[in-house]
Amino acid sequence: MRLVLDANILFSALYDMDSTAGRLLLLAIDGEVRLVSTEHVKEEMERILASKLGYSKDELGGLVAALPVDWIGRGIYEEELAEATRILADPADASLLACAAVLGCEVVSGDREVLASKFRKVKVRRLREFKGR
Amino acid sequence: MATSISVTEGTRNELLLLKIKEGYSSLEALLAHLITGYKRQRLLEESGRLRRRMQERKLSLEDLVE
Repeated sequence: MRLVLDANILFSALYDMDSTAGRLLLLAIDGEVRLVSTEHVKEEMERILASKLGYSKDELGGLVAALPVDWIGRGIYEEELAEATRILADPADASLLACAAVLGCEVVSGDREVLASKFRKVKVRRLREFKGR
Repeated sequence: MATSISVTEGTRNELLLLKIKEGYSSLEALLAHLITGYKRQRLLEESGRLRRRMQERKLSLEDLVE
């Protein structure tokens, strides 16, 4: 199973590794699930970590490297991005839909707007749907 | 497909000893376990760093996810 993760899920996981989000990352390390996210999301996370928590460039690199996530470059999902941006104005949110449409997988998010979005055949799930899996 | 890696004799002996002591069926299985353990440890370290920074700045998870 391959899932596209939103930044809020990754922050939730890092905040509490015993949470459902945290356990999802551990499942990825064990090879039970494959997690991906987008270059847009990575940049958003780096911006937040630097501005709100004072992360240095080295610290950002360390955190990104430690996450069991394959970061998908813009070039892969760009063709779907323009249309996804018509559904979700935030570029990072839109990138999730575009990426999932191209890769043919589901999105996991805690963002209300992302959860309510309808884009092609992309399914957006809440994290709690993975509890007990 | 199997391939080879080059390590010193000391490291090779350490790995073989660990394999026998821990009961792994092969060096491959031992190394796979060590890699997984390292990745988990790194993730926990990053989680700890994030939590410390949040505490220092008195920020909640909601403050981060906007």
